Amino acid sequence: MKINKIYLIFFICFFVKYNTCISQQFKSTSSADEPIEIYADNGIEWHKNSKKYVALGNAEAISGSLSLKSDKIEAYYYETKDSSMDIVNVIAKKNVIIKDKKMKIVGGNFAEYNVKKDYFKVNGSKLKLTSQKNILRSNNKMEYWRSKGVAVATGGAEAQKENEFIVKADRLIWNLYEIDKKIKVKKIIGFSNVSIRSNNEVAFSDKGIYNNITEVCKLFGNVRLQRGDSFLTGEYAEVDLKSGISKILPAPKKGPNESKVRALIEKETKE
Amino acid sequence: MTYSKFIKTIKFIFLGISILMLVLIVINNRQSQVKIVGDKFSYTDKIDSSINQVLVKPVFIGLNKKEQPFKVTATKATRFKEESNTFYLENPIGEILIDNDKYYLSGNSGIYNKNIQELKIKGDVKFNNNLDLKFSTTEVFFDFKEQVLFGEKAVSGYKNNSKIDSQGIKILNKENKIIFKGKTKLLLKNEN
Repeated sequence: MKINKIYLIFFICFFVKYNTCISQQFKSTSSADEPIEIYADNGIEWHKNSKKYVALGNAEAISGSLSLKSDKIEAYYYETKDSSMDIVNVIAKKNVIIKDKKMKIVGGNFAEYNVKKDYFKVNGSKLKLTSQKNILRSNNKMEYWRSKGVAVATGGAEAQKENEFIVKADRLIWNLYEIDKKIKVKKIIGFSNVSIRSNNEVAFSDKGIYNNITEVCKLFGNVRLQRGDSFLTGEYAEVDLKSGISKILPAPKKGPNESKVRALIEKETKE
Repeated sequence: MTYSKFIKTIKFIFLGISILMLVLIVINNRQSQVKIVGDKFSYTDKIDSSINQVLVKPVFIGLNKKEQPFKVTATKATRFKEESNTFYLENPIGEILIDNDKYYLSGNSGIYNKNIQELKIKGDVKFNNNLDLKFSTTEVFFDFKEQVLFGEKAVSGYKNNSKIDSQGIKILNKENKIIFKGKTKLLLKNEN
């Protein structure tokens, strides 16, 4: 199980790196470059000893297209030699709402934003990320690498595309891209107890990759395709959500960019 | 030597006129003094009370609870009989040490209460410290004993490229904390 976790972390890191190096389609500028505005209805406290600002009551932090709303916001800064302040970390407590262009995360009780990494971590029991027609849910944790265009939902993760399908898994990864100042979903990757439910079919597997452009979902490991009372099982399947055709196929030996995914799945299948 | 009745009458009339003129001069002088300070501080109720003392360029020096020195200067200080510990100041300047930060306060007018060691500054109030931290407001109080600076009027603060606007301020020495009260907006610009 430990090995699995290491592989999973490796995969996420690879995926994040891959997105940065190859796709370069996510053009959100890092908030480290932009000024930060903090608003509060009940005042702002400046704790000079602990180098932080605390915004109280209907607090909001805005940086470029990004906004973070909460009951309480704490902004930690690093003081340079010339006594100027660089915000390094922002913490939001209770009723957290994050907005970035047309994307929105709600339902957070706690959120942490690393300015340099441009990375969000949100905790809550009813987390919901909405981007255009797509919804990502989690009952535990949501992570968002903003400039890299990756969102990860951990714990009771669920991805929904209008009335077309619902993907469920222990962990779901969204690969996002930006077009016309809107954030859209490019790929959805599911880990552990994956299920994809469309209008006429339910598919189960250990892992799954859905491509939003081709609308094909590839399923890996312990695959089970169920339509009514009948079902098919195998190690690999392709579900075309556009045409409604599903195929059980031999596991691909080599695939572009997916060879690492396959290696990961094989490892988990052995356990 | 004997004077005519007319001359004797003239003598008394001139004496009366001169006394009346002296009285008018005194009244007029007091009224103009009140006018000068009146537009800065409204203590019109003190018109009838007599001024006890007027100090030019006074310097008040004291020690706070922590035995740290403080200094209050002004271009002019007026003290009234019934308030022997209160000085009404024109163009006051305060130098206060809050922890390791030395704050400089200035404004158009002020009231310094020597007894409770509190300074109230009004008008175009500005205060700053050694660390490029600057504030501007219209009214601020400083409690020298407790080393607390506070104000309930709109305040703006600046530090390098950063700016803060709020409805009030409280600088607490003990916790090394500044509280900006009410609706507040903070703009932080990263220097890199």
